[in-house]
Amino acid sequence: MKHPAPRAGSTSAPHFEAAKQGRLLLPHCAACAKFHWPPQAACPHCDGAADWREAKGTGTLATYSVVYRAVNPELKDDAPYVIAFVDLDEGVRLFTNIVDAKAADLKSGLGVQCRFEPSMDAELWVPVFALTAQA
Amino acid sequence: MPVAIVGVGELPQGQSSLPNTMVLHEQLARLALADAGLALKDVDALLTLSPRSDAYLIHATGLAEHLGIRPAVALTLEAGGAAPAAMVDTARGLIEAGTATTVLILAADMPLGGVSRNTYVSNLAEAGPIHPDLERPYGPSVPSMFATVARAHMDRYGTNAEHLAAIAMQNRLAASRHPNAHYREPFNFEAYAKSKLIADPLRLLDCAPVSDGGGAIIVTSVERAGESRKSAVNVLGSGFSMGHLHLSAAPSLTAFAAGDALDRALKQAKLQRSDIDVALVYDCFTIAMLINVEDLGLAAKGEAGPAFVAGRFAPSASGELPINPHGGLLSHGHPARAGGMGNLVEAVMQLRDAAGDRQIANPNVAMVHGMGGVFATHGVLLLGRSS
Repeated sequence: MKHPAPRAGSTSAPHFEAAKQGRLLLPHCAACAKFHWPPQAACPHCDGAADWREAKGTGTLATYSVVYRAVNPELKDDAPYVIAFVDLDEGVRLFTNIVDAKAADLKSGLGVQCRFEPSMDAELWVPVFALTAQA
Repeated sequence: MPVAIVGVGELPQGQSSLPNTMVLHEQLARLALADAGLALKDVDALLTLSPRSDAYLIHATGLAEHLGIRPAVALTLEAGGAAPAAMVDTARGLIEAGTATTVLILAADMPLGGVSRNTYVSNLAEAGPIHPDLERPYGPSVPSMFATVARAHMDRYGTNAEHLAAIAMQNRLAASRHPNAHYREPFNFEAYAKSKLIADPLRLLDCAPVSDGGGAIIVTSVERAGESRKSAVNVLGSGFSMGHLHLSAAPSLTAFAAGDALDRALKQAKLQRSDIDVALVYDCFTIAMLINVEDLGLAAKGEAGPAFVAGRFAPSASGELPINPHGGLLSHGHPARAGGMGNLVEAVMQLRDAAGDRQIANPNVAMVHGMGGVFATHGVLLLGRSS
C-alpha cells in the first residue's frame, strides 16, 4: 500500500522516523512510567514531561473497517484495504492498517503484531499490523 | 435579554441549479428576511461558515460585500456540525451585549455545484476530521472512521444491520413528507441490505448524501421579536462539549460527549430531558444517530438500535419522542460545512406549527443537536414556542 506521508517536522515525526529503523516508538512519561497516545503537550496521566520509548509491538485488534472506496487517488488501486484501531499491550490505542489479512479472517480481539512499511516520504515509515498467527 | 428566531429560509437540498455558493447565500438571506418581514439594511450582524466550495479570507465579510451591506459585525465561525448552535449562541451574546440587534445567520455550501463531488470527498478526507499525520497515511475515508465506531458498538452492544437500517428507513420516510429533502423515496430493508458497502460495516444507505443546500435564520431580542411577521421561536438554552478532534484521541470508541452539551443546555434553560417534545439529532451516518441518541441520554447505552426498530423515535403519532421529522442529514441532506443547519430550520418550523404534512402535534420544546468531526464536538440548542 502506498501510504500518504505524515508531515515532516510534526509532533509525531520521531514515531515515523523510528519506524524506518524498524522500531515502534511511543510517547512515554518518565515521571509516571506510562505510555500515552497520541503525542501531546504533556503526559495526560500526570502532566509530566513526555519522552519517547520503544514498545513491544504486540496487541489486539480493537475495531476495524474494510475500505472499499479509497478517497486518496493514490490508494484507489489498493482498495479494498483494512483500517483499524489496535490496543497495544502498553495500554495505548493506535490507528493503523491491518495488512495481509482477508476481511473474513478479521475479528475484534484477535492478536496483532507490528510491521513497518514505507510512506511516500522516504524518511518516514509507518507502523502497520498483521494478525499474530501470520506475523 | 432573551433572544428569539424570527425568520428562517431554506431551499431544496440536493443538486442546486444556482450558479455559485454566494448566490445560494444571497437567496437564503432574502428568504429569511422576507419571512421575518425585515430588509437587508436591518441586518447589523452577519454570521456565516466558511463553505468548502467557496473560500475567502473572511467569508462573512465577503458575503456582506456581495450583498452590498456593511453590518457592524461580520464573523465566520468554525465548529463543524456544531456550528449552527454556536452561531445562535454567538448571536445571543451580540444581542445581549448590545453589539447588534438583528443577526443574520447563514450556513450554506454547494459541494455538488461549487466543486466536483470527487474533489469534495477528497478535500473532506484531507482537511476534514482525519488527522494529517496519525490517520491519513493509512488511507481512511470519513465513512470508514464512522465504520470503526459502528463495529466497536456492534461488538460491545450487539448493534446490527437491522438497527442501522431502521434509522435509515425512518429518516427516508420522514423526508418523503418534506418538499426540500434531497432524497424522498422510501426504501425497505432488502434495498438497504443490497446497497453497496462503502466501508464495512457501513453501506451507502448508512451515509448522508452530499448535498448543495443549507439555511438561514434571523435572531433578534424577544422584545423586538414581538413586532415580527410570524410567530417567534425563543432560544431557551444552549450547551457545548468536546471530547477530541481526531478519533485517535477519543477516550472511548463507543461513547462520546454529546450528553454534556445537552446537560449544560438543560441547566441553562431550567428544563429536563422529559420536557423535550421533538429532537433534531445530528445523523451524518446511521451510526452517528444511534450513538448520539444514546450519548444524549434519550436511550440507555446499547438500547437505541432496538428502540428505533420499535418505532420509539418515529416522528409520527406513535413515536414516544419524535426525532428528525425532516429526515435528518441522512435524507433531508448534508450540505457539507452547513451540515446540521437543516436541524435548526426544522425545529423552528415545528415550533411554529408550520411543518405541513410532517408536523408533530403541539411541540413546546425542541432540542437541536449538532456534531462536528467524528463525534468530536457537540452543540445543543433548546428552543421553545413563544407563549
